[in-house]
Amino acid sequence: MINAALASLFIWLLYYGRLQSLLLGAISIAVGFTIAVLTRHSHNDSYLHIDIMAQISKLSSVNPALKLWSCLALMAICTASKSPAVGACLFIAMAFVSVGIGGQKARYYAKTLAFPVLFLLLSCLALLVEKSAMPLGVLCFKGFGSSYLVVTKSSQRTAELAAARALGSASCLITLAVSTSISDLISALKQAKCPSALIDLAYLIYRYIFVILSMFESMGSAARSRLGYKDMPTSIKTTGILYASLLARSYRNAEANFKAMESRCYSGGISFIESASEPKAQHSAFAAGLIVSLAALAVFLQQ
Amino acid sequence: MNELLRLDNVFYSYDDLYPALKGVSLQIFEGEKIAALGSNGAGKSTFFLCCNGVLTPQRGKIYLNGAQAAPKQLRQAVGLVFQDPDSQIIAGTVENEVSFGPMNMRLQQDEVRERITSALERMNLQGYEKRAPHYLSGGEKKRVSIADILAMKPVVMLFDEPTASLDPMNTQMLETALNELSDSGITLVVSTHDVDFAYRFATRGIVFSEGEVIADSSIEDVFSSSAIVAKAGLRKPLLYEAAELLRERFPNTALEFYPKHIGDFNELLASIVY
Repeated sequence: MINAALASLFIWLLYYGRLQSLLLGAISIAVGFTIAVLTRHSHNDSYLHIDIMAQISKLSSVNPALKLWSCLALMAICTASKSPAVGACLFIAMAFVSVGIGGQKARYYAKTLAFPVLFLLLSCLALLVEKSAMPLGVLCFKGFGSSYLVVTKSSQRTAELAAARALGSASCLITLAVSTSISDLISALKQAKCPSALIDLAYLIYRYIFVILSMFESMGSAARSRLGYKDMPTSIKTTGILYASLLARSYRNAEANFKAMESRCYSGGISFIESASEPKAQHSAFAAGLIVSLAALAVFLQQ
Repeated sequence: MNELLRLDNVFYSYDDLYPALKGVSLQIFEGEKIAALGSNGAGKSTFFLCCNGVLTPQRGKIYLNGAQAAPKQLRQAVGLVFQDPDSQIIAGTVENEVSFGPMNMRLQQDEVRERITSALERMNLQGYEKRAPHYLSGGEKKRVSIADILAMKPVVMLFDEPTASLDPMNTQMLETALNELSDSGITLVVSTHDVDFAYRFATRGIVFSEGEVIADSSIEDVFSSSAIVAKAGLRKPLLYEAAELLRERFPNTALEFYPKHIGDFNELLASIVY
């Protein structure tokens, strides 16, 4: 809901004075409504929905290194371009790749995007609204004391470009996240010669998120069943005890896990079989086509 | 029978304060099906960790195929399936998980891939290669943890309470899998509190109590001694007790065997002369 309200306000401020008032109002409300519907809360939402989306994506079998490097190239073009249309086109293309080709539900894709976009909108609002000693610009509000909060044509252009770049880049990252499992992503980073200590840590952290989350959920349920959250003081006390127990249990679990690794001849480095498929010609061609098209668009709009 | 593993007067204590094994000596032979029995804290898990080479005995020696073995050799030859699969599983996909042991053994990729395929097939996990272990059920995780060890092709497999927290259907599947492993020639040592399962499955019982082996004989002999059963905090298996009751009730009938399955028990009933 906050996202929807912020997006409506942002659109309205961004195009104020550039579009006819009635049309702008309608667009702002339509954008806000669409975001509110797509990102509405559901009881099925889980902390781990990105991981599940990556597991079921039709793009999960595409070579992870190809996806990683293509996304980085697209992000580089988007951030280097001086035209907001490039970011907007990338955002649309990535939504099509995730939903149209990857088979993700639009609602889940939008929900995944909602959180980073909330932060982006807040940052872009700060770029859009400036403080001024004089009443100027396309929109002006009386601020604190003798100052004014103004929206100028220049700030609109800056915010528009920043928002487009951020939105395009964020959609690239989200597309990568919802189409590539963490294991594949880590293996792509390993192929890219990332330091092995970081790779080992990444493997263990990913695995431990699930182990610790499962512990946390079972301990939380056990505390709830014994009225551990009946009021605020009890909740605070329970939360403290729960986190302390979680730390102790995690430590014990880490010890057990280390023993289990040693029992399978672990000698200081985690290594798994290389399981990534080779990039297929049609996937490489599609990625190259996307990169070349976006680069061509950026060059064309620059000229 | 060939001797695979021998423990000679093995002592181990945690932090030199809590003696967990006090002079354990025993032999494990090729093709045996052994149940390691005893209450919690009796020393079964420490015994397994020593056999697997994760813990090094403070006193005593461990021999593998007649020669004193280094921890690395033990880890390769003696596989250990941990009680909680979540303590064992470290990878993000089943395929990676099963590859961990063979990769640590520095095998070629083709060999590793072959071992993964074979281990997953034996545990009925074909098609699970790309699945994330954290989304599997308890029974499936247990099968992955067994495939982990199978891929290392050990000569002895140790199972630390494999039936704990499994439902009856998964317990039955596990028992079938263990019997298949035994039929394929792997020596199995299973630690368990489920005396009915131990009695059905094993041919030999080793009973631990306070870090010592208090009985080591055929599984029927272990349960025939009420003193051993009481000292180890166990109980007699139901079918074994039922057979003993029949012997008391029908002293004139020669009841020649102890039933391990309900079918055997039915056969025993049929042989009674009223």
